[in-house]
Amino acid sequence: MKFKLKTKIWLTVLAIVSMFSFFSLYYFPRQQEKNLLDNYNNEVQNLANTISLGAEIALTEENFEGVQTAMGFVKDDPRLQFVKLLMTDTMWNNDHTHFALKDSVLKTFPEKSDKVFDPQLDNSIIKKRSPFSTEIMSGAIELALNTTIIQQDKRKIRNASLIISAVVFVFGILLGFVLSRSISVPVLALRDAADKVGKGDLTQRVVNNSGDEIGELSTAFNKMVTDLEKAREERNKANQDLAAANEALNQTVSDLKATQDQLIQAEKMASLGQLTAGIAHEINNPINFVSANIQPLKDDLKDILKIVEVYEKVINDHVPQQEAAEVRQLRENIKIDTTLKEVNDLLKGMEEGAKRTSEIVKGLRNFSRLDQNVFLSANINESLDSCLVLLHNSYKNRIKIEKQLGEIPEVDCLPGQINQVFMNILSNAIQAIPAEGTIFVKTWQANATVKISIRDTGIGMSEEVQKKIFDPFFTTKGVGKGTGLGMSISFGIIQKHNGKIELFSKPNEGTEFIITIPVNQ
Amino acid sequence: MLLLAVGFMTKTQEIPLTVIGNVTGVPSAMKYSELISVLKGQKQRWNDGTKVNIYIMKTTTPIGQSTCKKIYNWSGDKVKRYWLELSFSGKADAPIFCNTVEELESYVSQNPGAIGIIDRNATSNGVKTILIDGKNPF
Repeated sequence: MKFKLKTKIWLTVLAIVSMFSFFSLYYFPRQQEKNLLDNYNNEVQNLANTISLGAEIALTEENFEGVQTAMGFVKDDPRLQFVKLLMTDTMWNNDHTHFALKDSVLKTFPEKSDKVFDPQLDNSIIKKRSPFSTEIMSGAIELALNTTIIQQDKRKIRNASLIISAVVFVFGILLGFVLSRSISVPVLALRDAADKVGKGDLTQRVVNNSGDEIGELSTAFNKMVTDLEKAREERNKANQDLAAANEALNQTVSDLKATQDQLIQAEKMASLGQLTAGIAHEINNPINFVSANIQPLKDDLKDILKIVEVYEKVINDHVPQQEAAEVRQLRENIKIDTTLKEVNDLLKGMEEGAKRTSEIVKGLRNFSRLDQNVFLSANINESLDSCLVLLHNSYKNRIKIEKQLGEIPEVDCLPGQINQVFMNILSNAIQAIPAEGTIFVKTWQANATVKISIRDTGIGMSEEVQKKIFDPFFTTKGVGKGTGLGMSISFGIIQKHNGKIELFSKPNEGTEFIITIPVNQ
Repeated sequence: MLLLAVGFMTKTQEIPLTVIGNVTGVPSAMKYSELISVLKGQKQRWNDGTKVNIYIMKTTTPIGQSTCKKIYNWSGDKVKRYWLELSFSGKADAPIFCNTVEELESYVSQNPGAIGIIDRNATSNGVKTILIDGKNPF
């Protein structure tokens, strides 16, 4: 069974008060009464002995007055019930074989006190006997004093005990109150405060100005909470620092990853550039060969046509019809006009093809410029053209390209990387147009900068997408259809050129990128 | 005790006794029977009404012993006992037992009505010798 502190205090106080009350109401009075009675008995006995001694001496001195004087010693005692001088005679039987002692009363005071009482039954009187023996006689003094004063003293003792018990009881109650307040109240306050501190409230403090152990405990508690609060603040600060460091670390990791990816991408692009350069280089020679030979072929064909025309004229004019019939039949079978037209068309196609191939090779060569870490002067318009050529297959017959390429100076840049930016934006513009549309490409000079605008009539971007478009790994394409690095890399490239890239877009209306690059770095 | 008393009685030598009394109240002569009556507490006042005060020597003294023998014809103890019973019964005042003749004579001289028994005539002022049956010592 658990008791609260207040209950324990009260129980203790009540136990002490009860014990004291038991002692003061029962035990001590009884002891006092017993002592009183014993003392009274002793006093009576002593008195009887004194009288007896006095009588004995008086009798020995043959001073009979002295005997009466001795008996008169207690004459004026208000407690006196009687005092008797007894003479003890030895009564022998006739045969003198047995004897009995017989007391006869010589003198009694008061003289009418012959009442016989049994001290066993009557406790209002204490009777004591004190024998003496002289030559004259053997006898005894019997002294009886009443116990009135004892009864009075007993009553006084009981009353005093009652009063003392009552005082102690009241004092005990007050003490209980004081103790419970002075001990239990501050302890409960400490308990409540500790409880709240346990729940996280470190503003708790206990007020106790007593100089005792509870005061010391309160002081220690307050100090502990203050230390806890301080520790918590330090911990929070440490946590904040840790969070900041963690965030910085995450950012660093993210940057490192982005950089790593950029490096990988750059490496890929470099490798691609190298590959492209290699391929372009390998294709260039044969194409140049083809291109170079088309015109001579055309010239030779012209010459051949001239000869054919001369031959026809000669045949028509000078060869008999019968002999020329085979030639005419063969001419009809071959359909020479159609054939000549076809040859011209083929030559034209070959020329265009070679020219186109040459343009593609040029574009590839432009795209794969290997001087990426060296700023060179580059023609932005040519770069744009090259990119459009390379992307032709993806937009042909679907998207119209409107070019408005202004008179702009050459720009100090990393040509390969700038091409990468244009390719990325143009590629995105093409992908943003699901069916048919137009891509507007414009360049112009603005003071010391060159501006490039690439605008499409595609699906546009929402505000949320625009906010994230330059974030690494952000993509609106499906899984596996884009790394989400293109725009972030482009942004980084333009930044490297001390330029800026602006985005304007509205959903379902299209998107425009305006790139600004300083002419000189 | 009885044997002692007998022995005492046989061994005691009687001393001539003289009765003395205070000049006030006590007659100068009296009969022996009156003396006995007085010394036994039967007569407690003199003719003039003065109270009788008896002074005798202690029974342990020769004079006392002679007094017990001659007056009471008892042993000293019996005399004491007699007077004890008499005095405690309130019938009479017990005699004063004195240690010396001078003491006794002094008491007698100071107390009117006092009578005592010694072995000589009175010598103090205020004390007279009493003739018993005209004799002294008696």
